[in-house]
Amino acid sequence: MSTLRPEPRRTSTAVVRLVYFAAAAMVLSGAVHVVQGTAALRGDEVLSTRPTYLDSEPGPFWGWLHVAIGVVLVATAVGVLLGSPRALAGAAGITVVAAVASFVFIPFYPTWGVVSLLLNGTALYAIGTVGTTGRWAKTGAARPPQTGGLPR
Amino acid sequence: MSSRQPAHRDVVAGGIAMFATAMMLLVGGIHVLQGVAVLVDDRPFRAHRSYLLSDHATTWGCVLVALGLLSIATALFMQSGRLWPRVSGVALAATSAAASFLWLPHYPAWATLIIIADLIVIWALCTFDDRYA
Repeated sequence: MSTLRPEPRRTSTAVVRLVYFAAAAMVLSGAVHVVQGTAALRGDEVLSTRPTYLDSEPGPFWGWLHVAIGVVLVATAVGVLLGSPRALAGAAGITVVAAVASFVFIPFYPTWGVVSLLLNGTALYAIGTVGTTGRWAKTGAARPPQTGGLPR
Repeated sequence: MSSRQPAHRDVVAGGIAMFATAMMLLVGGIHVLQGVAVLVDDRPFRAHRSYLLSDHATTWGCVLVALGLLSIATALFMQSGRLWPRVSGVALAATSAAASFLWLPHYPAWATLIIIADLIVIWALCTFDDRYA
């Protein structure tokens, strides 16, 4: 596709635009994980307890885990925006971890868990699509050749 | 590639730009209706007595209405070809999704649908070709 050819121009390429989507989805997912973690730490009554599931209630461990996942998701999204290939690889990793944590969270509050899993899946799709284009790894998405800085 | 393009590409790119605008108007309108519903009578939205901001139906209602009006206002500028409606559109949709996730226990089905719509808005706003706005 010639649209992916590096050329200096005002418009951003399809890959760069998808990088923005990946970052936005990750930030959103991060916010959602912080909400879930906070609810678990507060012992909110919306979270149901199931006698034989895990420790029967999402205590400090799951709470802090979700908060940590949320913070790492947001930090990694910034790295992806800055054009770091390592951050992109890390983004794929943390998104998978977040998706698994969401799945584990489902019995505590099914709708939250499912929505959070959906967000992570969407982010992972965007990350994967960006990562497999190849060109991104060479130039860095948010730094198109010759222009520098954020693309317009 | 910049000047001569297959016609269907133009149609698709222009279509996504218009789709982003329409989706933002839709989500904005839904937020206004949702907020008004909460303000008028919050009893249907009190599934959990001790949940965050349960006693602040007025706050939630106003926040939802404000989000909706801001989204509609931003969407009206989407076709101007400027960058700011796009950036603030993504920020608003992300805020809307996060707020809906927080509000979700009060009425899960509404919140879930709005979050999905917000994600579609963010996708469309991020990916449409800026030559078509």
